[in-house]
Parts: sequence; C-alpha cells; structure tokens
Amino acid sequence: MNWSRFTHKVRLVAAVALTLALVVGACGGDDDDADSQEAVAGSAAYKKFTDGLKDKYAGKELRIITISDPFVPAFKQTAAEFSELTGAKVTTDQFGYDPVYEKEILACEQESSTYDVIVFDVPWTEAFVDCTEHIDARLKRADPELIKYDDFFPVMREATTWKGKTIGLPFAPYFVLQHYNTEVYEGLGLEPAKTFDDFVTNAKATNKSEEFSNIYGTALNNQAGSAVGQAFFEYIYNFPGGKPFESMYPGSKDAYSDMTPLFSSPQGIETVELFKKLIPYEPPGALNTDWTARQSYFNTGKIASVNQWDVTTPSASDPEQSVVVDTHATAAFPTDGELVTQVGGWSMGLNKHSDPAQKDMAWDFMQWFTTPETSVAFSKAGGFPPRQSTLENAELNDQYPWYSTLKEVIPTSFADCRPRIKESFDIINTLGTHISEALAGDVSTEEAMKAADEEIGAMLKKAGYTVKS
Amino acid sequence: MTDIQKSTVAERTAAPTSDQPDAPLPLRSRIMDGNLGGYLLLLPAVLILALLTIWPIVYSIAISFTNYRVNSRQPTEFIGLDNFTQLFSDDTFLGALWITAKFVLVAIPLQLILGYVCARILSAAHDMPGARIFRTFFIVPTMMTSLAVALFWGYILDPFIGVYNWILAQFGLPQQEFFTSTDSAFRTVVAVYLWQWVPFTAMLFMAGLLSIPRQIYEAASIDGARWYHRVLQIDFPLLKRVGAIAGILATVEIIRLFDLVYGTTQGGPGTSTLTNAIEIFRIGFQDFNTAYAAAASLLILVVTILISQLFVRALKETEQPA
Repeated sequence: MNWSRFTHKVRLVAAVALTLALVVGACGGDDDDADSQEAVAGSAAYKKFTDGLKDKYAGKELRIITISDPFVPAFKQTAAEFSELTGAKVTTDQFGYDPVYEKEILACEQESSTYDVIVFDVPWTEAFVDCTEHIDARLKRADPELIKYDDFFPVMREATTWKGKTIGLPFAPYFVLQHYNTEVYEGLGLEPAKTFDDFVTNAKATNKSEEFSNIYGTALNNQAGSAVGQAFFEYIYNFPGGKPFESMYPGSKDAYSDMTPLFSSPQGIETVELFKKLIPYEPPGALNTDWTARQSYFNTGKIASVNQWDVTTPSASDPEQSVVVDTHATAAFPTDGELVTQVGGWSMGLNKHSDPAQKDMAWDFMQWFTTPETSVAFSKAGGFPPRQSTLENAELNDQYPWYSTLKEVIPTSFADCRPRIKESFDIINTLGTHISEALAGDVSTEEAMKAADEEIGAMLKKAGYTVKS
Repeated sequence: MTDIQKSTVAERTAAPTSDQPDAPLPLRSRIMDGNLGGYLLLLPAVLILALLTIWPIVYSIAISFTNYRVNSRQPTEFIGLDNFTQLFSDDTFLGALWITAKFVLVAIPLQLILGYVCARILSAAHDMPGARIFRTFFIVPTMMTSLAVALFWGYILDPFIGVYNWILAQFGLPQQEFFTSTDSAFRTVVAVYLWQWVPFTAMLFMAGLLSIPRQIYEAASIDGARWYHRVLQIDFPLLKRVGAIAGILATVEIIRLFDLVYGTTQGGPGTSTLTNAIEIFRIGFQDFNTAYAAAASLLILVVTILISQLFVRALKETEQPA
C-alpha cells in the first residue's frame, strides 16, 4: 500500500482510530476471556517452566496408578505431551474403582516404590496421608504464577488437604448432576426436577408414557454395596436437616468431631423410601443397577433421566456411545432443602516411598499436568476441569454446554459430603449392604437403617471416634 | 560302574570291624552316599513350599488373634479370640455362611445327579459318530474362567437388554428378572454354576462308568435286571468313589466360589447371594479389616475340612473289603 498518497491528517486520524480500537479491544473483553486466552497461549511462568523441562528426564520412566474412568484416554493423550517435552516415558496403569483402591492401599502398606504418582478419590484422603509426600513445602517453593493454587476449586483444595497437610493436586473432579432427555421432557411438557417430589412425578410421567412407550422413568444406583451406599450420601443432605453423622454437614467446623451415625434419622429413612418409591419407574432389574448400567440406559435412550456423576456426561454427547447426542441436557440435583452437590473425583499424590529423583520428576509432572494451560488441553481431550479458569474457558464452554450447570453447582458442594477417613470404604459398603436389604424387601427400611447405625457406630467407636449411644 | 568304583563304595559302606575306630563319615561321603544328599535335594522344594504355603497359613493364624488392619491408625495388639467371637454375632457373616451352606446343599446333589445322567448319556453315545466332538463342546463351560461365565450369562439373562427375555417376549411370556430379584437371584446363580461344573462331574462319572466291566451289566441283564436295578445296584456302588471325589471337589469349589457371584450379582440383591467368599473379600480387601478376614477364612477352612471329611469317609468305605 502506498501510504504517501494519504494526507498527513488522514494518516493521523487512522493512527488514532487504530490506537483507540486496540485500547477498546483490550478493555472491552472480560477478564475471564483474557485469562483463558492466556491459558491457551501459555503464561510466561508456564513457558519458563516448560523450557526448563525440555529433555530433562530423557531415558527415565514415570509410573502412574489410576482409576480406569472415562478420562483415561484424555489423560494418556495429555501425558504423552509430557513425554515429548521431557523425554520421560509415562506409564499409566489403570484399574477399576475397587481394585485400584486395593492395589494402592497394599502398595502403601508395603512401602512400595512401584508407582511414583498415586491417583486418589476424595473419600480416600486420610487413607493416603501416610504414604504420600505432603507437598506443602514444594508448593511454597514453586512459582505461584505457575501453580495458581487459588485457581483450583476451593472444594478440591479442601478435599486434597487433611489436618493442614496438602497431600495432592486435583486434576479431575466430578460432581453429581441431573441428566435428562430433552425430547421426552419437552414432549411431555416437563421441566427438570427441582424437588424430590418433582423427581418422582417426572419419573412416573416419563415411565412408559403413551408418547414414549419404550422409555422408563429413571435409574438409580441400587446395586448392593458401594453403589447404593454412595447414592445415599448424594441424597441425604438434600432433605432438610439431613446428615449422615452428627457433625457432618456443610459448614461444620469439624466434620469428624461427633461420628454418631444418623442413618435411621427421619431424613435417612426418607432417603431410602425415595429409592423404594422410584423402583416401579426404573428398568427391570432395578435392584442390580450400577453406575455403568444406568449411564448406558440413558445414552441408549432407554431412560428419561439419571442423576449421575458428570464423568459420564461427555459420553452422552459421543455419537459412538449415545443416541441422545442432541437430545440431552443437564440441571442441578433436585433438593427439598438447600442444594448440596456431591463431589468426588481424582487428585494426584506423590508416592512418599519413591526414589527422590523419581519424586522430583513426579512433582514436575503433577505441576505441569495441573497448570491452567494443561488443564485446558486435558479438558479439551475429554478430561474434567479442576480450576475456575478452566471452567470459564470460552472454547470449553462451547464444547461442553453442561459447564453452565457445573458453574451453578460447584459452590454448593463440600469436601466431607462423604467421609474422608480411613473407614470410608467400610462405612459405604456396610451402609450399602443394609440399604440393599431394605430395597429388596428382606427387612423394613427402619430395621435396615437401625442395623446400619449400630454396625457402623460400633466400627467407628472401635476406631476411636466419638459415637454417642 | 567300574570294579574300582564298586570296591570303593563297598569299602565306604562296609560295617565297621571291631578293630576299626567308629569314626563319622566325612561330610562329602554323607552327602553323596548317605541320607543327607536326599534331604539336600529336597530342601529347595521344602523351602518354596514353606514360603508360599505354610508361612501364609501360619501368618493368617497369627494375625487372626490381633486387631491388625492394613493402613490402620491404631497399633496392632493381641486381642485373643475376639475376632472369632465377633464372627458368631456378625449377622452379615452368619448370613453369608448360611447362603454358602444352602448353595452346597442345593447345588451338590444336583451336580452329582445331573453329572451322572449326562455321563450315562455320553457313555451310551460313546461310539456314535461325532461323539468326540460333542464331548469336546460339552466340556467347554468348565474350561472357561468363572468371570467370563459370569459376564456371558449376565448379558444373556439381563432383564432389560438380555437375549433370553427377548425370546420370552417373542412368545408373549412374562419377563424374568433372574439375577436382579431376591426371589430368583440365588436360583439363577446356582443354575449358572451347574451349567459350568456339571460337564466336569459328568466327565469324572463317565471315566468311572467306562471302567466298569461290561460283563457285569451283561450278567445283570441275563438275570432280568431292569434299568433302575442297573443304576442302583451296579452304577451307584461302583461309582461311590468317583462320586465322593466329585463331591469333595464341588464342595471346595462352592466354598471358594467368588468370580461367578462377583461378576453377576456382587452378593445382591440385598444379601440374597452373599456367599462367604464375597463377604471375606469385602472385609479383607475393601474394608481392609485384615485380622477379622483372616479369622473368617480360618473358620471357613475348618468348616471345609469337616465337610470334606464326610466325603473322605465315604471314600474309605469304598476301600473296605467286601
């Protein structure tokens, strides 16, 4: 372009206009967009950190033990970038929920150094306090601009801390959401449930309706043991005044100060009665339904709604797994009181028994993987957002419309909604066995829940907790 | 062996004469020629056995008298018989014990009867064309891993997506819940267990039947014996030994039955299929109450030994001279 043919005045006006446009552009976008743009492009701290990692671990191997959840392909894909960057081979061993806990606890007891990074769930926190390196000192030494610790969801920061000790960094938190089939709901003029009455009404209305005769109302996690035991904790807080233990409720100063079980409280009984009430609107075999089965029912269009962990939400949008790709949506969990959303999901801990050099490599991996930049890449590949900045990322919001529900429910969750003590697995299993007996009609709900109170109370008393008789 | 070697061995092993001092043999000679060599050769096998079999049993017995839990915040202490007494007041464990006992009482007679019937059919068809191929297919369920069997039947009998209910629906018959109802789950697990293990029992019985001389049947026929006479008075007495062995194997299989139940019902619905193997797994590997699980396992071991003794006694009776 020949600038000489413009007059000096025109050139001046153009320059001012361009400057103004740049200033307005810079100020006009909101901070979140700016943050997410930075996250995608990479902050200076991130660039400095990754520059330092180049070929740092060539010829070494980092071993990770993790749950075999749907995020694993995205995890491996993202971890491959760490390999490319550092030269380290990243080996990921994945197991089902129960086996991974079993293997990790046994490795911990044997002081094994087989794995450098241990991936653990929220209720397992105390169980891993003794075998993970507490990372507080490392966090202090790390570049705060890289770690951006305050950017992690507060509930996950709390979930990875035990009595003031930080034992891991969260990377894939989950929350329980209501998922519903929009075609069925719109066809029958229904709204997603806000209360448990709505939930039952919707389940009844959508169950083999005239318009959708092959679709059942809903499916609960009724399988005996950990499945239905876990489900109880999702519902109990959402009955006004409901809590599983005397001092376990949102806002409690010490959730473990009084562990008197309240499973046979009116709210506990109501929870199990709700499960019973919904059985007629569930597919055949309702008493044996677990997480996988009910998500498959929802994805294949066999049920109209499911209250399920958001880890399964992306699968409903995957045409290879779902027939409801364009006809599903999410909403907050129904509640009869103040909403309490169940939190779970995965964090990475440093194996205390690993060789120091391996630990340094594992720490670099954990920092790198949980940076805002890598979190965005991981979420894009099919992972889950552990940070507020990831949740606000515009591209991810376009990709995952259900992030809007997440934004609504994350502040309503609290870290101790399921106990995080060493006895958690035992509590959930024992409770699940008793609830299953009630659902099967072997005993009354009152009898089952009283038995759960007694058995779990005795177990906790033995473990040294305050349990009032 | 050369003459020199023979003489050397003879000299070395000769009884000492009165004028020879009673000196011990050198170590090398004791290893090469005496019993010590034999013991040394056995030593690696004994050590491996001790390490892999005897030590875990001794360790289990030892920890069953403590409060040991994996990953516990409390120190391990000796608690005497507390774990054992607790077992007798643990409703879930006693319930699981009852389910297992019911399984043994229902499944073993059926397994032996069906095994015998199948063996009779197979041995009758022994020389027919294609019998070999049929026998090969017949034994396939036993060769499958129990977890694969569980998944396989789990899908077939799924009340919602299973092919079996689809077939029933085509004939206008009511849908069945199989593994998912307290009424039918136990029966369904027993049926799947029998599907897997009856062929094995049938093979044992068939081997037994083929070893019975034909002349006995021919003589019985001449004497006018009917089919039930042959079954009751020839087959049963002569197959008692095989039946006892099949009974012992089946008892042990049922008492340690885990994969099949875990893969189909995980012990539910309620506790309708909660066998003791599932309950001990839950106590030991989910709740990590290791000492209590060890005590429960020992109790089950004692029960298994006692039940097996019944069959062993039956075996011994068959050895008594007529």
